[in-house]
Amino acid sequence: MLSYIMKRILSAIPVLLVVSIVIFLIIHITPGNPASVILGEEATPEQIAELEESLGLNLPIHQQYFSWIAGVFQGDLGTSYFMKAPVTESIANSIVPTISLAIFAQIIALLIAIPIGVLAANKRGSFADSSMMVFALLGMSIPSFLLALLLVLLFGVQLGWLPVAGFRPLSEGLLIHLQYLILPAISLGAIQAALIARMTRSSILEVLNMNYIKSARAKGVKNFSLILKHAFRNALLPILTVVGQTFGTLITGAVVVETVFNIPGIGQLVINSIERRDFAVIQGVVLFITVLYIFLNLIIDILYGMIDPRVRLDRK
Amino acid sequence: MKLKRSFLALFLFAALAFLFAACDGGEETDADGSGESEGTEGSQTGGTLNIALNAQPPTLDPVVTTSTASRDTARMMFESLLVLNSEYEPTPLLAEEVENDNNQNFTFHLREGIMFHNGEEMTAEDVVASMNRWKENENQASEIIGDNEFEEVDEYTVSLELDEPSSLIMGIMAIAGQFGAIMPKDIAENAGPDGVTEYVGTGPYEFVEWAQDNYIHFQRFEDYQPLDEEPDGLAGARTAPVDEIYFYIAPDSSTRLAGIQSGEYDLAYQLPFDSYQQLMETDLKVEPSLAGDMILQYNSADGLFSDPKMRQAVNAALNIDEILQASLVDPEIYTMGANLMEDENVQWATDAGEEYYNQNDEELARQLLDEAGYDGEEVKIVTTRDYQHYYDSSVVIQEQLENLGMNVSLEVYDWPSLTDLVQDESAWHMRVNGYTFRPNPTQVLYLQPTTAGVGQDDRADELMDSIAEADTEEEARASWEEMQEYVWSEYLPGTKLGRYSHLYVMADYVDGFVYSNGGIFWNISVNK
Repeated sequence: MLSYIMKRILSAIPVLLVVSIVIFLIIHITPGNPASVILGEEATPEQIAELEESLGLNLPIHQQYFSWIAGVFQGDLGTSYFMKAPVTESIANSIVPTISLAIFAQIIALLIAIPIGVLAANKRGSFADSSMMVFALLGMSIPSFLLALLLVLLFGVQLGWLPVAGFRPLSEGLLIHLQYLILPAISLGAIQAALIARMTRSSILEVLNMNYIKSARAKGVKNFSLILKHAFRNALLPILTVVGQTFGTLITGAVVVETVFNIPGIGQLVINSIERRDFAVIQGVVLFITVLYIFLNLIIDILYGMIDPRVRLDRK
Repeated sequence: MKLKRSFLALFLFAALAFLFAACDGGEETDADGSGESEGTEGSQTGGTLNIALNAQPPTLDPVVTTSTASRDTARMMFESLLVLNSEYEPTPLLAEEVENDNNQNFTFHLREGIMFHNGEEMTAEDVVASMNRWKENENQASEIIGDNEFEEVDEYTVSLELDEPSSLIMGIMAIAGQFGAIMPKDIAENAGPDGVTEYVGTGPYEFVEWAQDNYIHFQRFEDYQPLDEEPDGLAGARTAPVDEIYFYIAPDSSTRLAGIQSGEYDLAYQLPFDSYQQLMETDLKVEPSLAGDMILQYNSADGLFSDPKMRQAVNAALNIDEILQASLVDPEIYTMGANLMEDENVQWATDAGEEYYNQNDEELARQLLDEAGYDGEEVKIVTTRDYQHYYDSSVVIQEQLENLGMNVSLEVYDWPSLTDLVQDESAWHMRVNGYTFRPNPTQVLYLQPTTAGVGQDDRADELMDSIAEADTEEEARASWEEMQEYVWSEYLPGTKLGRYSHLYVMADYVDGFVYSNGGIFWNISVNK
């Protein structure tokens, strides 16, 4: 097990190095200068040059890269040019709203999708089934920004029921935390809900055609009990696979929704940093997300091996 | 296998979320506003004012940046010796009185008993350290003051001696943008090139917290000593009626719009021009505030447009009514005219050269193009959609010039790329850009050869020098009238298209908003 973990960690290093070089080059080749953004348009070329020097932006690009990557190996992702705060601190502050939003979006998606999928399967071929699947298709087709704007107009501006912008941390109370998350979570979770609803329907239909279900039905088991106790539990496997596989995309895919709802999460941090040409933050966030994915996959593989004894991680 | 991986992934994310959420607690700082409704002038209404700001300031130190977001937030807590009143006249704020000896020797008598937010009293040594730091950072101050320095005369008196008289220096010291923020001596002296990080001023509100990309929080400074004068622009009494002010950073204009309509914010910055009519039909208060000039800037430093005839030809051809209707949408929120300084600026406002504004004369334009020897060369307009009115204006200008037979292309960039690109004077010919009002003409950026794309012109230099070196205000004004006439008739580093407003919108219970070189929030009350 230990040698497997070591191998996985070592194999991640070249991936991270390649990612770091690519992102560093892309960012530095892009036109735009953080010093100009910080000083404002009325700054003189001399002032810009002076700030570039103090930020180390006038150094040759390879020197800037090595200086940055040396810091990364010591756990220092650098300092934001614009915010003057350590990049790790910016990431730590921004990841909280993003993860809260992703979890809430996932919960909403499940609450909508599972009942719809089960009902559609149960009423297969009926008007209700078609309606629900059209609804699911709509959910998959409608862009999240459009849905977000429509929700804002209806529930925020017209009805005034829910806040339309901002984020309140859990420390201010669960209710207010959720109030601010409802609309963005629905916008973000709609595509998920549509996907899960379709998967639930087809998965339950598949199970319903199996012999043990037919046998249970012949024995007089009631429909409600048949669906929930016998069919749904076995149909759950592919549904949960979809849920798990797409959850990561909720975190990285929240950029648009965070912008519309002004949520200070990772997506907003990246967008703002690109607009400010805050190279340190952009490369830090990209590297962080890469590490997060690699790390989680590694943990999952390790735990998987521990839970399922048939999997032998050391072999092969 | 996939199932279990998914379960585990979900579990790990959930665990992470709770971990982060737990770490997040306690970050919020409680302001000590306490809802107390008595105090300064008996005008405090209490409550909180939530403002949707359009951009995060790069710093809250106004001395090192010209960013308007920094200006508007920093001046809640920092003050300067002099400020501009509504007619752009330098007026004492932290100075009690200024003795001006022939525009060359200045003595500033400071107000006594002015407290910093850290509880210490402001004295001459703080002012000297702050002002000497400011003059190193502000270009024009640095040029005029040179190696001279502000000096302490006694505990409440500061002096400044110039080598030559300058009729401009008082106005520059009162500048609203990159202003001379007075802060404690040790903070000013230890400031780095990218500004201070400890925000201690003398203003009516004190700094509480800055949650990056989220909000900036101020609370009333209870020991603030307001002037006993009526508010007038940036001058006069600052009363701090509300307990707390939050500037929420909301860069997306549709978010600010929805936020003010739904009551999430009490006041919103710079809403889109095309929302004006829609907003006028609501209960919200809409305050279009003239904020600056939209200029078609020519690259007079290099290429085709270094020939003044080319610039004059384009200027002659433009139908400015059409351009402004397409970009600034509603005549209620823009104005037209040749005056290059703010209309209320009594010292400098003039209509000299107005016959050259909005000529819309194709025949003259063709004649000037012939004289310039234009032969269908490509003319490149560079623009951005980050400021929609720049883009919309550019599209109309392109069409008008193509109708004239010119070969015009439009290149669109994001804002940071564009600001970088225009530094390369071989890469563009024209661009539309906004310039905020400046207190005196020598600070107008598109007239300065230090600005990218502005070519050297001996006559313009001479006239600008005579403004800067004038002994009296009258002499300076006469030179400026001559300069503005020359700008319109021959020099034309840019064509002023029109004067644009920023749309400030607030709830009907918000009173006391004033716009003067940016929004002023210290006299706003919330009367819910």
